[in-house]
Formats: sequence, structure tokens, C-alpha cells
Amino acid sequence: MKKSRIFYIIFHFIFLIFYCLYADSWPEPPDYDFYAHPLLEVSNADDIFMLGKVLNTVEKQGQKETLNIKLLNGKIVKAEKYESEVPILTKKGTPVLLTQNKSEKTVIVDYDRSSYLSILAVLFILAVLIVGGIKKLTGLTAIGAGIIFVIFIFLPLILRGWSPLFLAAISVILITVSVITGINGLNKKSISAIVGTILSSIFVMILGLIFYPLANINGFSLEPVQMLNYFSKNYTSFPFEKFSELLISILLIGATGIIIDVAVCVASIMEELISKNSRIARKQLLMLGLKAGREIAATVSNTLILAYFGSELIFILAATLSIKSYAQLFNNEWFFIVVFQMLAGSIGFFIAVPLTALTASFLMVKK
Amino acid sequence: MKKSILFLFIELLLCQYIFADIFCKAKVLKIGGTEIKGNAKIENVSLKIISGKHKNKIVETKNYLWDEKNYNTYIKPGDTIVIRINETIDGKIDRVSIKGYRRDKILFLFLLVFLIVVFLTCGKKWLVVIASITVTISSFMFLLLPMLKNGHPPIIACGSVAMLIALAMLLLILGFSKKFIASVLSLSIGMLFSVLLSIIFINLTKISGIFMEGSRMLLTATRSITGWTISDFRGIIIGSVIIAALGVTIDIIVDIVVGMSALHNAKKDIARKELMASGLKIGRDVLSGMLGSLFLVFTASSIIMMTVYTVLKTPALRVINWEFFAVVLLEAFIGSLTFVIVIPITVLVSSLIFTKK
Repeated sequence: MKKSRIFYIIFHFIFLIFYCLYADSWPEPPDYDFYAHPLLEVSNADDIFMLGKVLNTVEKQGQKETLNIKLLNGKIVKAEKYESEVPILTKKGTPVLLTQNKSEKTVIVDYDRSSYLSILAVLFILAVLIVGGIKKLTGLTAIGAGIIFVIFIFLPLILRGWSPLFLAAISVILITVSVITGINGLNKKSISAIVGTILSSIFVMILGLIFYPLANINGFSLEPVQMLNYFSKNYTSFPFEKFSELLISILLIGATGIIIDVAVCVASIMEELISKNSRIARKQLLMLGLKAGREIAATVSNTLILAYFGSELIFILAATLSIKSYAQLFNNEWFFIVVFQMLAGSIGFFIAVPLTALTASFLMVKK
Repeated sequence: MKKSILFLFIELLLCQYIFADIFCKAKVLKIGGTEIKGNAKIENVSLKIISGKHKNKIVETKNYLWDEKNYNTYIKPGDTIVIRINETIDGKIDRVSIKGYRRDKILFLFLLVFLIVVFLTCGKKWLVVIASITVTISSFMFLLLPMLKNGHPPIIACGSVAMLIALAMLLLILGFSKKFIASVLSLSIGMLFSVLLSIIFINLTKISGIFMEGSRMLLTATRSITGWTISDFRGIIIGSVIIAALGVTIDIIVDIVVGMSALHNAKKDIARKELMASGLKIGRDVLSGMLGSLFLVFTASSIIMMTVYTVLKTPALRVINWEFFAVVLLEAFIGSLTFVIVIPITVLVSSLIFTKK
């Protein structure tokens, strides 16, 4: 009796949450409880996080379990574990993440995933080293530096009221220049690839600036945007407001990688054409470069679509579950954002072919 | 016991009743008086429905304008908006609510722009490009998503759809030839590798998959629609690794296979070792430009969540071990690893297929 009633209450609750998520204009204020959201955990500023390994269980009392944990520096501490919806299974040797607050109470909050992730990262770097040789690592470090720039400079600055679009443009330029010069050094080939990439990114940006306001896109059908809005209002002195610009900058950063790929390919083909026939006329070179570039663009045409679809599969599946009609699908905000991300990025590398070919033909041939 | 089951049943029925809404477009005729209630401004709107089965009916509704302006739909007479109609059981309009702005027109305008750009930049190749994009998107919409909704195991659904897309793309690009066979073989080996690697690392990092964007929605929905369990969420992460890496992997395979086949055609009696060496060189050249593309896509798709963590000042150690972030890193690394590993595999497979000795 009791169990089924609890089940009923839980079901009712879940049902209500689900309903609220789907209501855009619903006669309830739109600030439902984000604190219990699975994407978040609100922690105190003075909490200290540390990693450790489980040694053994000391005692078990109802929902609380006390364990001995060996920290990374060799110290052994007692930590508590509470039962949760998704239980943390602790065996001897399980790496866990601990948090210690002011009262010196240590609690297990999660598994330690960073150690295994770093193994994966090392595997990846090793594979690049073995397959590509040490030279390819320069391009990789440039990408890593770009991502670090985005996370540690881009994000804090947009929260201080800087324009996301301006910062995204800067990060695109930085990533492009460092990656391309990292791969090829600074020469005419690199310069034409850089110019091609930046011009096509500007084109993508202009597309975003035209279409997002036209379709009234501010991203509020996406849960993370709602959370960003809610928490930046309550936690910072500068409430974040430029949501549409943020979405355009995401579009730009996501497309950069593939645009660079295409631009570098086109530029190196042009260089090869010149090395084979140094007296080639500009027009002829441009035509040959365009022809080869089209082959490349046709091969990569699906890459961005597949990459975005893969990275957002869970979200897309969840969001389409309740879609019943095309009128609903095509007018949805998230659908517009997803399609625009995929196709506007693709436009970016399609347009990179002629732009790079044009720049290269002007740079490499005198007449 | 019986009572609560009965309640549950009623709730389920209600659920179906509420989800059986109709979405259609409507034109704003006039906006009547406004009243202020709490933190909302309520506009009385009269609408004329212009699509769907209730076409040409005139309905009255309320538009709630919250003090949180981003959630609102601002309308003026003459605008077309999307509304949601709740029907009574006998098919009459029960309640009408405003769902949001109309976006389909702009979406199709953008698709037109996309087509024009493809047509201008790709020249004769435009048909191939449009065909492969159409195949990809339609197999997602009409094959993968329905398969997952009907409760098929995610790894099998994602794997088979990915393979289907790959076959279609490779056929479009290469035609049916030795090159096609070589690339399909190398792709299958590469995909198998990425599935194995994802299974190993998902088990090691103990990812449940229910702490992702949208997975709460999915979990609540799947409880009533299909009988999914947590292991299926893990499967869906593996599936997303396969799909995300597919595009880059196909690119690199096609580049290598085409280059090696051209070499073999130019010099029929080329030794296998020589062919392998030049294949590896082609692969290395292509690799450098591509290394970053997946990482940047995954960075882009997690930027908003990263901003939220920055707002909350969550410590870095917590964020790295956080499941959402771990999944993003896992997918980016395994995807990139797949297309690096696929280079030697492709070189080996195609040298075995192209040369006899």
C-alpha cells in the first residue's frame, strides 16, 4: 500500500515537471526548481574537493555509510556516503571524489572520473604521436590552447558583460592562426588558409545575425540557457542577457575546426598545382583549385551534421519524443537552433573553398 | 493498493489526453484589455486559426507576459503565431494556449539560402552534396529516432543507422568499386574499435547517462512510453560516439583510399610496402587539419553548461568529475581516437585489397 502510494506521488511529480518543460506560455511562473537539476550541484565556496581511493567500509547505518578512504597524498580519512537516486557503488580500490566542508566532515560525492579520462587523453596523444609523428602535436597543442582560451577567458569575460560575439570572433581568429601556423608554419599557403577561414567565419556570423533575430531565437527552449539565465541573475552582479549572441558564438566556434580543415586542404592543393607548373595563369589556377576544392567539400558535407547530431543525440531524442506534427516541429525553437547550427556551419566550409582558392590565387601568382 | 493503481491509470489516461494536443498556426485578430496579476501581465487575445482541422475558427485566449521577458511571446494584431489546442474527448476545442512565434517560414528561407550556397560553391557536385545531406537527415528523422523511441537497443539502432548512412555516402562519393569495399571494411573495423573503447571507458568511469542535457526529460518520457533502463542510456552514449565520429572517419578513409587507388592506377606493379608508405603519408597530411574539428564541436555544444558552472564557481576538480563533462570529454576523445586509429587500418586494408603481393 505504502510503496504504491509513493510511486504514485513520484509519478505525479515527474509528470508535472515534464508538463512544465513543454509549456512555453503556461499560466505558471517559469522559475521552477533548478537546484534539483541533474546537470547541477550547488556547492559552497569553502568546500574543498579531493580525490581518493576506497579502502574498506567501517560501518553501515540506515542510509549512511562510513568508509575509510586513502587520499592521494597517502593520508587515510573517514568519509560518509549517503544513499541517493543513482547509488555510488564502492568497492575496495574504487576511485572517488570527496568533499570537505568547514565542519571537517568528509562526504563522498561522486566517482573519480578524471583519472580514467586522463588515461584516455594519454592514449589519444600516443595514437597521434605514433600515426602522425611528433610534428602533428603542434596542431593539437594549438587546439588545446584554443579550448583553454574559450573556457578560462571567453566564459568569465562574457559574464562580465563583454559581447560574446566579439569574444567568439577573437577566439576564432586565435584558434585559426595558431592551428594553421602550427601545422604549416608562416608562409603564403598558411596566409591564404587563414584568410579563407576568417572570411568564411564572418559569413557564418552574418548569417546568424540575420536569421536569429528574424526567427526570434533566444535559446530559452534549451534547459542550459534557462539555467544560465536563472543563476546569472541570482549569483552574479551582471545578469547575462545576450543569449542570441551567445548562440551565434557557439555556432562560430563549432564550425571553425572543419572550416580550417577544408581551407588548409584547398591551400595545399593550390600550392602543389603551382609547384608542378610555375607558369600557370591565375585564372587557370583558380579553376583547378575550385575543382579540387569541390571534391573536398562534397566529402566533408556531412561531417558537421553527424558531429552535432552525435553530440546532442540524447537532447534531440528527448525533445522529439512528444512531437506529433510537422507544424509543431518546424516552429520549435530548439529545432531551428539545431538545424541552423548544422547547416550554417556547413555553409561555412562550402564558402571556404572559393574564398581560400581566390586568396591563394592572388597571393601565389603575380598575374 | 487497488485505489492507487486506479489513480495511476487515470493519470496515464490524463497524460495521453494532455499530450494529444494539436499545434497549429493562428493569426492575431485583436488584443483586448490587459490585466496585471502577480508578476504577470495578461493580455486577452482573439485569434483566427489558419491551419489544421479547426481552420477558420475564431478563439479567445490569454497571453501571459512574465516579468522574465525571455519566456514571453510578444504579439501584435496581424502576427502569425503557433498555438496549442487542447481538445475535449469529442473533438471540440477545450483550451487554447499560445506556444510561441512562427518560425517555419524563416527556417525554409534559410534552407533556400543553404541550397543556393551549395549550388554556387559546389558546381557540378551540388547534387551529390544535397543527396548525401538528405540521406543523413532523413535517416535520422525517419529511422533512428523512431527506432530509439520504439525501444530498440540503442547501440544496435545507432550502429546500423550509422552504417547505412556510411554506405550511402561512400556509394555516392566512390561508386561501387574496390575503393568502396576497402573503405567499408576499414570503417567497420574503426567503428568496432570505437564501440569497444567506449564500452570499456564507460564502465571504468561508471557513467550512467542520466545526467545529460535532456536525459531527465527522456527518462520521464521513456518510463511511460517504453521500458528503458539505465543500461540503455549508456548505449545511447556509445551510439552518439559512433555517430559523432562517423563523419570525420569517413572523410579520412575516403582521402586515403582515393589517394592509394590513384597511386596504384598510375603504377600497376607497385609493391605493397611502397603503397602502404605513401598511404600513410596521405593519412598524416589529412590528419593535421582534422584533429581539432571534433574537439571544437564538442566544446561548442558544452559552452552554455560551462558558463553555468562558471557562474556557480564550481571548482575545476568537481566539474571534471561531473558526469556531464566526463561524457563530453569521453565522446570527444574516443571520436578523435577513432579517426586517428582508422588511418593505419585503412592503409593496411586497402593495400591488401589493391595489391596481390
